[in-house]
Amino acid sequence: MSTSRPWLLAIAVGVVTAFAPGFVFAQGTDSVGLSLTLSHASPKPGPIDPAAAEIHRQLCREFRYESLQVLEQRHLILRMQEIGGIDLPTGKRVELRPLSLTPSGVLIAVEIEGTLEADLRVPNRKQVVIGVERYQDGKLILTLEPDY
Amino acid sequence: MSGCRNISVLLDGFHDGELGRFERWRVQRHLAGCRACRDELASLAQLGGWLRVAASDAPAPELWDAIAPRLPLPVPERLRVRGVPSRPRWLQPIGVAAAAFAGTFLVTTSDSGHLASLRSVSGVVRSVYAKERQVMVLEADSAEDSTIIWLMDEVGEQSPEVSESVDI
Repeated sequence: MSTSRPWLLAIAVGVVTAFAPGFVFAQGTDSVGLSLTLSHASPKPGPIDPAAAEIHRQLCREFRYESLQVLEQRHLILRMQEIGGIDLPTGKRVELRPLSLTPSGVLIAVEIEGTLEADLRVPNRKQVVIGVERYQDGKLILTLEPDY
Repeated sequence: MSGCRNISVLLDGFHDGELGRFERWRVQRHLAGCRACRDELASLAQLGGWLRVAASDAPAPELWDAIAPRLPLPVPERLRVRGVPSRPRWLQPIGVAAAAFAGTFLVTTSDSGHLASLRSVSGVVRSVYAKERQVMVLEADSAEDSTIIWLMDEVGEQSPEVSESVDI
């Protein structure tokens, strides 16, 4: 029996070597970054915040507004199933929860209490714009962009 | 372009005014930036125009007088070939059932086709639910575009059909 031990050891080493990179990858991608930008679009004349230039490029074709201002920017790093979020000036909270990571993107559950529940599969560095709710004379706009 | 494929299946309904407002808005949004689809819509409109003109051309009153003498006379009942069995009565319910099945099949397949087209454009949004609010989902038409989810206000937000863009 003792002669078989080197073979067993070799097999064990081979198995560990073969699966180690995958294991390390899985550990390394267990969390995702989420860039959140909360902006306010208003029909009142005013500047377009340079920090919201990309959002403006996306929205100006679809919606009429005169000014756009970034209220808050935040970068979260969340593990799968971990809940993070951002508070709106209206008092509501937007909660985000990464559910799983797949080759086509990260599946994120988005919830605004009493208002919206959505599951989004967002590819890496792809932006999603959510027109959330009315605030003052305009609209609150949340953009989220995962990086992993 | 995949955006064109997704919109192309909606163009007929768009032209005939059969789309819901969100789909209509999505088509309008795409048309604003796609000349090929605008041309396709224009050709649909042109075809519709031709059909309307053709349908509205009433035949001349003397046409029937010219055709009627050339038609064969109706075959009297007694001259019909005997020995050829008429369609049995018991086949009638089967025929009705077959027609009903075919109708159901057509409706089902057209519905699933519609859903499939919606699914194919919903790359990012897997599900969305808004309590007592309407939601517009505008999937990205190209890699540079973002997916937009827009929660409509209960009142005051203009419906998309009245303009190409919507007040925020």
